[in-house]
Amino acid sequence: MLDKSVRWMTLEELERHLWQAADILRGHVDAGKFKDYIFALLFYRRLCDVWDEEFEVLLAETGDREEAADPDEHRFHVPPQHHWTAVRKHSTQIGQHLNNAFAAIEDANLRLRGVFGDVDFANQERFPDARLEKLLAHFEKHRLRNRDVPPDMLGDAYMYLIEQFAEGAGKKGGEFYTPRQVVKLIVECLDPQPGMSIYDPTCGSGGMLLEAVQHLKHKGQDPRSLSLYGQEKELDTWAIAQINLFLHDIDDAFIGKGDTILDPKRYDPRAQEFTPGVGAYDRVMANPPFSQKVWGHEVWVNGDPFGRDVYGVPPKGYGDLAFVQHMIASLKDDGMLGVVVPHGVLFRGGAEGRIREGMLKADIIEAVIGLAPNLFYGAGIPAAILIVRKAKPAERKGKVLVINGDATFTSGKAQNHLTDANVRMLTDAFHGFVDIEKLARVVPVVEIAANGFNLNISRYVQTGADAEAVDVAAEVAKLHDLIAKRDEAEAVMFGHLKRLGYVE
Amino acid sequence: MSSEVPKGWLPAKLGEIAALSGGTTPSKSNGAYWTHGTVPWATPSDVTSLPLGQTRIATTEAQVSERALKECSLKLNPPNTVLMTSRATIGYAVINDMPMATNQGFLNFACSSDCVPEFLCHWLNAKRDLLTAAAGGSTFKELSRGTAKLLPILLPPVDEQRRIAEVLRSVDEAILANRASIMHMSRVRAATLHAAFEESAWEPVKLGDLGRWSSGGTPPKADQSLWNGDVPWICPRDMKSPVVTRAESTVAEKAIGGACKMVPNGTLLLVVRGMILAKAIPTATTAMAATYNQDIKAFHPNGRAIPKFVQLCLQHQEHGLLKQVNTATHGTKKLDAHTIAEVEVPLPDLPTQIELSQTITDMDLAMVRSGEEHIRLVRMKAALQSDLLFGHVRVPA
Repeated sequence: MLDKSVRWMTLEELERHLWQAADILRGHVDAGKFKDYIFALLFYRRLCDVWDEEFEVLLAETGDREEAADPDEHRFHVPPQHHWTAVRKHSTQIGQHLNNAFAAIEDANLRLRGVFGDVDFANQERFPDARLEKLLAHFEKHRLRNRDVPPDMLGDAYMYLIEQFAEGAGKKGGEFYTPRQVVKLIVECLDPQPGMSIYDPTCGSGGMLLEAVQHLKHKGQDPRSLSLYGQEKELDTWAIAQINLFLHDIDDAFIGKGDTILDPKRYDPRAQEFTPGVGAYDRVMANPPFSQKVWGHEVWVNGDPFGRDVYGVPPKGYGDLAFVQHMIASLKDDGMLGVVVPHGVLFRGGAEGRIREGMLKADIIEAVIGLAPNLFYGAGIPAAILIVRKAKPAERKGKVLVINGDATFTSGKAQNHLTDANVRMLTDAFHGFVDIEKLARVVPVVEIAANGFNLNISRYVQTGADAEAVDVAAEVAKLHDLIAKRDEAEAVMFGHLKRLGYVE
Repeated sequence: MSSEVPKGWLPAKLGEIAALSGGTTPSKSNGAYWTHGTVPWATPSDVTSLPLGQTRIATTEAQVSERALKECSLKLNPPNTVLMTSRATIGYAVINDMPMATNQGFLNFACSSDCVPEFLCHWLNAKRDLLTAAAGGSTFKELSRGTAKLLPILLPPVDEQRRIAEVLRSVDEAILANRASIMHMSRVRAATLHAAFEESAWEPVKLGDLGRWSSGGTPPKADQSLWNGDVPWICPRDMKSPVVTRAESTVAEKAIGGACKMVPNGTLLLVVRGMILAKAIPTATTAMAATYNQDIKAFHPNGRAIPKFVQLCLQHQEHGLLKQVNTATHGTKKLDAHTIAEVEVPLPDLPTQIELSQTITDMDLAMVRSGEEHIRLVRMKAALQSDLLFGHVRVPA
């Protein structure tokens, strides 16, 4: 009955679909608000489609329509009178019916509380019935069941809407969308196993957590055995993460709201709610905002109340190492973390230098993977991945694997990207943990110490793209030598010229 | 110029003082002639790519096999043969240090005991114009062996040839040594910047926090009265050196205003749009008050950094910045304002900035001086060649 041949909708198709939806609203709604309305409808549509998908499966199994519609058989409840098809039967007051449906769905599902935000379709002037009729008809052109769309499709859709209709094109206060292949690279390195707890402290729309799900699926393991945890500050994004995980049949997924550094949340399974605190997980991964200016320095400077400032307090305008230390604090003793950081974290001095030194001395940095430039949407800054493990395997102790991926990419029109082959090359290098010419080198921590705990990747592995002389004193000495030789050559020349009567 | 024969010198023809031979290209389709070849085989570009002042050649880009020598009647020239290009580019002569074959673009002179190879080599290089004029050919200009053999030369006694060659060699060596020091100065410069920016513990600051960047503009072209005034109007093409001293175009004072902004002397400019961004990120500081066009952004520092220091930092990061250049829909390359604002500058205190900027400025000045010296040496060599090689000035024993 399930048609495996159904093809996933491409991102281009999805984008065109949403662009056309925006066309219907254009001129009637403030462009900055497009994304809220479109997203609410998109989500509503998707929820109803997934419900229908479940219904179809249940019906095929039981042959009983009533049983297939039984709320107890579904992961979430869509009250029948608020289902898309029911709302579509109304030709007047459509906006009010939509509002009611959103409220009813949120009420019926604890975990969906707040996901529709505060959109209001009831304004008759802005949304006359004819216009809503057109809009809803448009959303019926594509079905959005789990088998129609790729896993993080709503995340992609949301990024697209922000990109098109929000200020600052794709960038929200220094927060960047993490390209799927970079996420994949981290997940492949951390290789989560069935039954593990996985945590993303800045989870955005939940892309990393979902990738862990995909990772298990690909290996033929049961992703439902995972427990997923996340925290997200932006409410819109939190809602998407919530929806994304919810729709992927992951019941053990809990996304807290709030600022990870100032207000860390830990899920309390008995109380079934988040309480302030730092948890302990098997795998921790994140792409925290790069060099966040306001991150909570004023609090940490007097000591982090949650005790995460083990290696020191990061500088005021650079929150990177606060996030990294939060992640370290969130690791089980045998846990492992992967985090995307800007290159500066690897070599900047001052407070960051001291924190880096502490981490290296504690021997918890297992690998540094430098990524090619221009991979991140809206951010050309080169980034790197840090892999941290509190208890490294014996043969990796006292060593850091440095991988230089500066040349491992495929160039695209506006930005570069990683192909599956690129990702494989980097993950193989990580798991191999051996020297590979122009790509990877196992560097003893003592060597890094001798370099003043500088982890600048090109210092240890040169891809040949930009090898440069660094020993100024030696170069200056050579220059003195060359100038002396030149003066000598000129003296010989002037000697001849003098003899010939050209001089004086 | 006197046509008299200097005392003790003998008129001769090139064919009388050296045995001339040519070269050839073994068939490229025969792998046996080329794979694992060990015999140096020169083409004209092996010679023309040598730095000025270098008259010896030891290696070549391509090698042929021993078998090619045997089967293609390819002559192997013993060391101290004068190899001269004779086709298309004519009259570039060098002396081989290693046994070497050549392609068909050469005439090779095996000197008799009356002729010192170094002397002949200088003579041929000095007579490049004459040799080119003597060349015939329709597709390529080519100096044939027959013509070359008949060209006249005034030949000093062997001892004097040696002395002349020695004087000229001293100039060549000064040129080469000066060149080596210039090349190394740029290495020292790069190393100094590398040490400053990559290995210091200076706190990184985003460029966007150091000041404001504003775009320039173009006054309406249709309004003649706005153009050709007293105010320099800088375009990317004016930014070929790190300091802009003049602009090709000027605007009238009344054109200033709106998008066409005026910046003071010492302002840092950065090219943010144009195809040049595919290979370089030009920056320059102005040596005068000026206006500038929309492809350029000017830096208005807020006092935390001096423009010259920021310029050095941008120069140093050029390689990385190039990778962040975007392509606009119509294909033009551009650097986004956002990208520029996010560039990280390791920022020391102002005195340190000034010191580093001054050091680099001094290095740049030293390089300019050495560059000028190079030009003077080359000119002097040309004058000296004509004096010595043709007997106007004699080199005593």
